[in-house]
Amino acid sequence: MNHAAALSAHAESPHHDQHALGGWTPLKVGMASFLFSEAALFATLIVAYLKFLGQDDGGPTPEVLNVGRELVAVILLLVSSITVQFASRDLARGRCTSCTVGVILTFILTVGFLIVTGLEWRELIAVDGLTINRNLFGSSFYTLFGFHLGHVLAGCVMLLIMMGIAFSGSLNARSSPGMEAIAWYWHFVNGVSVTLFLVVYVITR
Amino acid sequence: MATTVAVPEMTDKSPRRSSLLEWVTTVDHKRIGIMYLLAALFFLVCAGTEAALMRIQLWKARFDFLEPDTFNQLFTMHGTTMVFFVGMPILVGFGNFLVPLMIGARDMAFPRMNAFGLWMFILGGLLTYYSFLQGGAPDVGWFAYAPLTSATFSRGMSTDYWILGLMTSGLGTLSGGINFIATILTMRAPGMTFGRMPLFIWMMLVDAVLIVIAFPPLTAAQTMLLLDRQLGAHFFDPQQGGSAVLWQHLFWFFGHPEVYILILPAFGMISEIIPVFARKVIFGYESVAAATVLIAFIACGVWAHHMFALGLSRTIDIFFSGSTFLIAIPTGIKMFNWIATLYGGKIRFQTPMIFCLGFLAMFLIGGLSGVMLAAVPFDWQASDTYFVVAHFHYVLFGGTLFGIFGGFYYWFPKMSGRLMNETLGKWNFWLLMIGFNLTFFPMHISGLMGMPRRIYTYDPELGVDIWNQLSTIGVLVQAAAFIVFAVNLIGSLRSGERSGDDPWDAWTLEWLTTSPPPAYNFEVIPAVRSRRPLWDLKHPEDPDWEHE
Amino acid sequence: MSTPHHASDTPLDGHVPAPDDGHSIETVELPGPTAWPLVLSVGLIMVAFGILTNISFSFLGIIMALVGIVGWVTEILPGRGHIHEELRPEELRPKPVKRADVDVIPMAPGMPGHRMHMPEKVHPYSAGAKAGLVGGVAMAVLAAIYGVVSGRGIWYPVNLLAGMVLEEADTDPVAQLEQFHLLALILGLFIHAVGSLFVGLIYGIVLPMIPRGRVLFGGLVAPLFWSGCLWASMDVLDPVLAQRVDWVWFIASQFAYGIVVGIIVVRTEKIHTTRGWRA
Repeated sequence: MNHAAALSAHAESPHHDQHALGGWTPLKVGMASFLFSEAALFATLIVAYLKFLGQDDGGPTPEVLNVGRELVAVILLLVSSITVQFASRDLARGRCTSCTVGVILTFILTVGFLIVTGLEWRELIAVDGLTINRNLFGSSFYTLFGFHLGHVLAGCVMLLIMMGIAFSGSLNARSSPGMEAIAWYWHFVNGVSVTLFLVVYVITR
Repeated sequence: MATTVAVPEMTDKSPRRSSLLEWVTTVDHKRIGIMYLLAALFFLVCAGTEAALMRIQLWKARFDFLEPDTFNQLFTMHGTTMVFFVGMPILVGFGNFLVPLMIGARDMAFPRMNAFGLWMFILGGLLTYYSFLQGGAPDVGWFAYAPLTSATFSRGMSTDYWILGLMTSGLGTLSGGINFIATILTMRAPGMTFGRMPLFIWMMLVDAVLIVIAFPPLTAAQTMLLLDRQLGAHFFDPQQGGSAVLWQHLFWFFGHPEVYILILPAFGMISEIIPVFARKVIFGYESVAAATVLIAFIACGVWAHHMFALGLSRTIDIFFSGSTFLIAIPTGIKMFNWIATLYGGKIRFQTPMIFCLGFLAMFLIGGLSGVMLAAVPFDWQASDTYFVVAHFHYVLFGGTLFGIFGGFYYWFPKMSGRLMNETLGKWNFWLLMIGFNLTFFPMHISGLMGMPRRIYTYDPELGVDIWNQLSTIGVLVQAAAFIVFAVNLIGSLRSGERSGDDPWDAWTLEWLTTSPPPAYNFEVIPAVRSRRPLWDLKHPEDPDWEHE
Repeated sequence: MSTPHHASDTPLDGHVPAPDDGHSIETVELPGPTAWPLVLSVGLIMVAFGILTNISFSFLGIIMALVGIVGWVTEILPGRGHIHEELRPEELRPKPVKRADVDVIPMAPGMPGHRMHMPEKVHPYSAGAKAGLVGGVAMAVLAAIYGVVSGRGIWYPVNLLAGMVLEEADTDPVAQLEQFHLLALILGLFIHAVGSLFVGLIYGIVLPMIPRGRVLFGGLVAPLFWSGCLWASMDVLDPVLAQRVDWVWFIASQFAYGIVVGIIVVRTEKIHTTRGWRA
């Protein structure tokens, strides 16, 4: 008998479930450890930002930041967190079409975030003259938010890949662990965006 | 555990030779592990050559064998290579080969990511070394203090090579760490609870957690440095309000856990080897595991002991001095555990074991000089002298590298199906032991006499010529030891004595399968009832699970 | 990122599988060889290389990395990227583990066995904790006596101890330190109780390891040792106490604690060493 063939790449053999720590599959543990290291990364960057806050002799200060616009950007991401969660849940229940819709909605919201961020950065650069080499605030601000932006872009690549899988017709419930991992990542990135908003735009501004 | 049918003696049929393409595209944890080891040995030759060149330059006062610039490049590349491209990859390589076998799994949790990590390490290392062809290697020291790394003082691209080479290979290391955590937490054989995992697995788990904690801050700091150099940011530029001290904090927040990342797997190896060769159960399994966790925990709070000479503040110095003293406690617990395992044992003095005994003796010296350096006033005197160089070589060479050699001799049969030559192994050990001590013990003395590290030469009036000459002679002896090792490795691979499945009469799961193991490791996944599953099978009348 | 792969394997019910149970499998599912991780890593290295040399390498690297990711994802889609490795013929499989020739390998004569535990018997942890708390009471009584005898009042010692946390105590005049403060009392008692408990636990663990003269060690050597440590670090731990402490009384109360704890621990009945985690 060849029950190896019957098991898909995602299926857990019952055997390993004994040690899968209450539903913690390798993918989930791997994603959680990855996000833990990401948290360490952002913590380091936030420390650097706070360390240099108010150390400048000249140049723009956090006063120039547009709180309202950034709030819109953060809310767009937060809503996309909800849509990605729905997409993940739908896929787990086998509803591939509504999962695809959820992924596309998430992507559109993310594009909205990118546009709003682009507007914010354009004004900072063109109007306020805040660039990365202008002063310490510029250096640490762009590094911090640039890292976050990079993570959003990486998330976009993940969403695009999910769309590609969907349009090639190979999306089914067996991809659901992967979609769930993407959702975890997405929630983390959005959590970071809320944290950055609170730290940079609200508390220390 | 037995296979289903008793079989006659294994015939001398060697597995079919595999092509290069198979190795390049493999996702098999065993092959990836072996490639890690081979690539790391290649970089070991590079770093060893660099060290030898430096020792020739230091043969006598005011010697001009090397240019000062070249000397700077050599010590930077030696340190960087040994830490990032030799030490960690060898340990990750052993971990890759052994973790799935020891926990009774068929592969790592993410086999393709495993291959990705390997290639990131190899290519990152090559990228760093490519700087030699691009106008000079990095020359800012392996910890690359600001503002020496600023665009003003470090012209050219060498520092950027250092940043990007380490960042890319660090990405590989991080993926490896995540892989180990996922594998160990979720893929253990039935019955292998946390309390029954081999100690090497415990150490690799803690090691992986440290990797996941320590590498991101380094990546963040290196990104900031890269932005400083490439885009004119001001993070580490004191002229513009930036902070050179921040770099030190960030680097050492990575750097100190890093040295535990380098030593813990070696602890794990000797915790596996010593019991087998003393024919005893490891003494105090629980306390070894608990001490490992404690070391990892404290290791995240000792980084500023590298910065005592900076004059941070009295309170900070006292805190970090205290936490550094504290970390000697779990480390000491382990030393006593290993010694108590030896006590009353029926010790077999084969090569893996004598390397472990060498480890105990050398690591003890390194540990004690570490305790000396933890005292702030002493550190102020000895900081940046050869005393410090002696200290960390006793820990990382006398500790990690001796453990790694023990591991090579112990697990080589499992990797290749052949034993390494015992006579050459003994020669290897004694030459290395003598050469190592001849090189590094005099450095304690030259350091205390005031010889600064990282300076390409020294003053004749310092009176340290004789100690430096001893050190340089020691390097020659070490080179002989490494040649013996290479001869042994290659010779045994071709014509070593066949080892069979379990040459050492050992107790952990990797010895249950053939040597070398098949791609899928085990025909049937074994079930485990104690910490020594093979003991239980060999001694059914006195199984371990009645005692644990 | 990769998806988890699990080769299938036959669950075992027993320790050693029964021969010919009819469930032997012929193939094992393993991830197939793939070059996509290599493509991705070459792409990423090219990105880095482009930053160092010519930025066009970086663009090429990004494209290569994306191609690598897409290729990688197609590998891990369900039903792809796996091979079915055939099990080896019987004669190449591992030999069955033999029963050892000797029952249990003998150790050197006069030495403990191969499963040595040391010490064989210990005091229960509760003994240390109990003794620590009783010792703490003894110490507090002596401290209170000091307060009364020195004329500074019964609350003075506990206020000094609370100075470890209460920073304003540093500047308070002595008169204020002689008064009753509820917060200082709670903090002082808490610090004292925790300290007494932990030192008591350490006593419970360490004392059985001392071969002879346990009460002497516990009552004299150990208190002398940590009094020295406290003397050296008191400036940092509790500057208030460091300025105002009467070292004679202070050390006397440490001795009182040590003797009481030592006696109580030594008098408790020992139990056999636990056999470790029953995880």
